[in-house]
Amino acid sequence: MKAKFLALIILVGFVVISCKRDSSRKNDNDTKDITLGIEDIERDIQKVYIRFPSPEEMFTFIDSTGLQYDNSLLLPVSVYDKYLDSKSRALNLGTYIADLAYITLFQQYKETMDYFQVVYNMTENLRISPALNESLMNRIEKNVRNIDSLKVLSGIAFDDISDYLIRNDQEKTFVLISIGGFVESLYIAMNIIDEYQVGNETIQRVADQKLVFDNLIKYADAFKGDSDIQQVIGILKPVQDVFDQLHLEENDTRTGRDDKGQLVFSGGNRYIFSDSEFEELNQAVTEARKKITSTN
Amino acid sequence: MRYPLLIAFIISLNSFLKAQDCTGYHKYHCPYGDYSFYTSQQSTSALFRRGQTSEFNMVIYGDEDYYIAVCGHRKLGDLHFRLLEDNKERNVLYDNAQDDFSESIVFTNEVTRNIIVEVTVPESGSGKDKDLRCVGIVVQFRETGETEPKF
Repeated sequence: MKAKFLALIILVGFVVISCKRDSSRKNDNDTKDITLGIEDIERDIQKVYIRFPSPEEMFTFIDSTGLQYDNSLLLPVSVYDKYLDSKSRALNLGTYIADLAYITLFQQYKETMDYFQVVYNMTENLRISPALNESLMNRIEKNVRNIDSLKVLSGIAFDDISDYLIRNDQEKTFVLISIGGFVESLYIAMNIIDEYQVGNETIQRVADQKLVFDNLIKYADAFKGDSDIQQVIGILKPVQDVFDQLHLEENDTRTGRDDKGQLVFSGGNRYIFSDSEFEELNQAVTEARKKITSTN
Repeated sequence: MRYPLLIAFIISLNSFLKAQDCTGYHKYHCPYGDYSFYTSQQSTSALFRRGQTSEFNMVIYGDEDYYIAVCGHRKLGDLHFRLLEDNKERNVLYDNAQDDFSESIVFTNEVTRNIIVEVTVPESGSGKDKDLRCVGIVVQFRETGETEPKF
């Protein structure tokens, strides 16, 4: 009787261990079974998910042909190893990712490779380098003169990092990377605008960042119990204050079809900057960027 | 064997405790748009039960064309998705139920806005299927009018 009971205990143990091994073994990109408790399952079935575009998506609309490339806007590659704690490493991995998106836009080949290397080094410092595999880095090297391929590959790199972090319960790090990337892309966008002009499409894209910012903060709020996230949300408060002041121009949204039969969403509300709000935001973003990229 | 029921219970408990990690599901199971589109970081995957409705809040930029696809395991049947304005009125911009439950849609967006992609997995006909399964959402974009393949 005792022997059978013991066998049963061993069987239970085997079942539990097999579940855990299952989760650690299958860590590639396909659908995976992992062991979850009932509470984990309930937690994972969410009703609302918040998403926001990457820095690269923000830059896509910019027509670089009429603009001057300015590398003084970038965080120098030489400082990447001055970030010694995980918070500043994550934030500035985001900064470098946004810089890379800007460099790619202007087809600066040498700097593209330098910044990709720094992005990889930062993932190593954060101990998340398995997120970026060697074949991706090789593809980047081979396609360094093809802007469209580079855009796709840097998108894949960002996506691989986010998937890796989510899969490994490090979503908090993803929040910090996203905030660093958001601030840097806003900083660059504001600094490539020569002067405030009503109707300028880059200025409108900056005003549109209020929607991205709101989603980013809602997403970060889920981790506000974490002191690093709380501190970084504090750094963003002046930016939020300016965004909250923006005037909302209200228009009805219309749906229709164009002459090819494609669905079109037109009209709708949009946020508008005044000259002074634009300047206030510029100052708030510059200050936030200074705090984030500080090596002290 | 004197404990068949207990063993069956343990095995079924094992199955129950195994849920799916859906991260990256959309990359390998959902249809993508043509090569004129770039993929948005807002693409995502999530775990669904039968009869569940979830919302995905996103930002879509103005003067861009978007491709959105929603897909899941074939056992889930036709997935219902709607694009809603993210405001008090929650106006319906698109409903795939009016489009033969199409898995994807391409549209032009003239003004940057928040949208909600609302996804509903149908109830099981028998009511017996309690499986948890992954649903993926692919979001892609291109500058309006830029229909030439990029690669």
